[in-house]
Amino acid sequence: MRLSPDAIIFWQSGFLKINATLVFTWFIMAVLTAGSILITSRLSTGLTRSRWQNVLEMIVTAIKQQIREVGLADPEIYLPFLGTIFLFVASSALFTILPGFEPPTGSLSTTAALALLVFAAVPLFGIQKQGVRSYLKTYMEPTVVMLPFNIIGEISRTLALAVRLFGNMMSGGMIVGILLTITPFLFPAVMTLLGLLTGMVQAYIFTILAAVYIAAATQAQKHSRHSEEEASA
Amino acid sequence: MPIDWFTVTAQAINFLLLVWLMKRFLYKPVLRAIDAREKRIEEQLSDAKAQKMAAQKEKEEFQRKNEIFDQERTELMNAAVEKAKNEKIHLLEEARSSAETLRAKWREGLEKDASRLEEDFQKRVRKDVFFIVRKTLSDLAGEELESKIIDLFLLRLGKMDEKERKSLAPKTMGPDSSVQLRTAFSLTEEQRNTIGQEVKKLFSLKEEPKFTVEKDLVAGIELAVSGQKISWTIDDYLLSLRESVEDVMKPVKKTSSSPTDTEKEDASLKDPPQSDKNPPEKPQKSDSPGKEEKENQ
Repeated sequence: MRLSPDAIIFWQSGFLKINATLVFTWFIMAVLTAGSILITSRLSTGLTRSRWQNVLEMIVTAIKQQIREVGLADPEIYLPFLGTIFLFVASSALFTILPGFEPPTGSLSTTAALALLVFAAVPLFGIQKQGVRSYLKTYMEPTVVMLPFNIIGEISRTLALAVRLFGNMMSGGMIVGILLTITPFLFPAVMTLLGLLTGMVQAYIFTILAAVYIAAATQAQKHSRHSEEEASA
Repeated sequence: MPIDWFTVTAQAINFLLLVWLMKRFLYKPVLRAIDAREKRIEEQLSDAKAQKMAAQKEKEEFQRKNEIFDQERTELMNAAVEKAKNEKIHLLEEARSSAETLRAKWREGLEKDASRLEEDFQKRVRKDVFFIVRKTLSDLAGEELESKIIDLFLLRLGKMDEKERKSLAPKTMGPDSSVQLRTAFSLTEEQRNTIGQEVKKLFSLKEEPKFTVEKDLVAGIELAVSGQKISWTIDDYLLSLRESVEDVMKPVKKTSSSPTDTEKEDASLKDPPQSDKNPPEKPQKSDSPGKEEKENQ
């Protein structure tokens, strides 16, 4: 039994290979980009606009709104990264309705890559917002003793992110695969429907968690500054 | 669970590439469009607000002007009403005065008409009365009456005082002096002689006076001496009667105009004098032609 689309290899030359994960990722990238270009090429700034533009605007403004609600003051800065996470994960879950499509997020390599990017993005956004020193200082909060635990926490939550998404996406495909062998009719379709739902939920969870981590990194300094000001007062 | 690190790296690169693509083709244009729209809406809203404020201002200005206009209109209206009132009073005064004048003229005319009618009426009555009297007398005139008249005439000549006689006498003395005796009836020879003698004696005449018959005299006798005359005729009595009648009529005329003017007007309007419509019968002229002229002398 195949657990990951990584196993489907179309082409390999030594270290380099093209597997199903990459192919389906490219497919999603192509669809998203082509759709965006198609719709945004005829954007209207007036009061009347096309349905597709409406859909896009709804999606973008909804993501923006979610980011703001998490606590990030300038959602425009984080929108490309967080928004793309959501769109990628959501569309890879959505495309599972296409026969033969394997969601790239069902591969641990993909989820690990996303988790690693979040893992890298958090300190990057943190440093961008507060500077290197004050960001690094947050690892020694409240005391230096907490430094190893903070680092472990950082790594473990990245791992958790990766595994949670992988597990959910992989299980969806897996259950459908197993059920197909037992009850070939109707039931797998229902499970696919359920898979769509869990896929959307996972996309939301992944994005929100990433946003929360970034928010924590960017707002830590504010808290510390606040406490310093209070202490000095 | 194997993790293919090549795939991980490739996916990371793929994802970053997707981020860039999305940023380039999705987020930026969409956000720009949204911002542009919001800006536009904002502009429109602020425009609308500005217009509303301007409209409000204009409305206030208009209301203010309207109030001023109303006030002015009321003032003008009041002034016009006042003026119209004054004009009305003035016009009424004028109309009243002109009506008064007209009425006065009318009344004057009426009075004139009335008095003329009255005069006409009196004249006619008088004329008729005298005509009847004269006719009666001339009808009654007979020989007895004539001899009586002659007696009376002679008596009157005899009664003439010296002064009166002298005032007549010198004129009779002229060479072309003529004494005429006019009678309404023809005299008998005897009567002529008697009268001629008497006259000759009275005025110391050489010639006999000329005798002429004149019907107009109405039972009378008249002596004409160089334009002067002494007479006894019924006409004398009639003349005095006429004078007395006129004397009686005059106060009647005055008292008849004494009732209030309005009453008189009403009466004259209601009962216009009938004299014109029904004139009194004309006296018969067949018996005494030329009598009227005599009477009017």
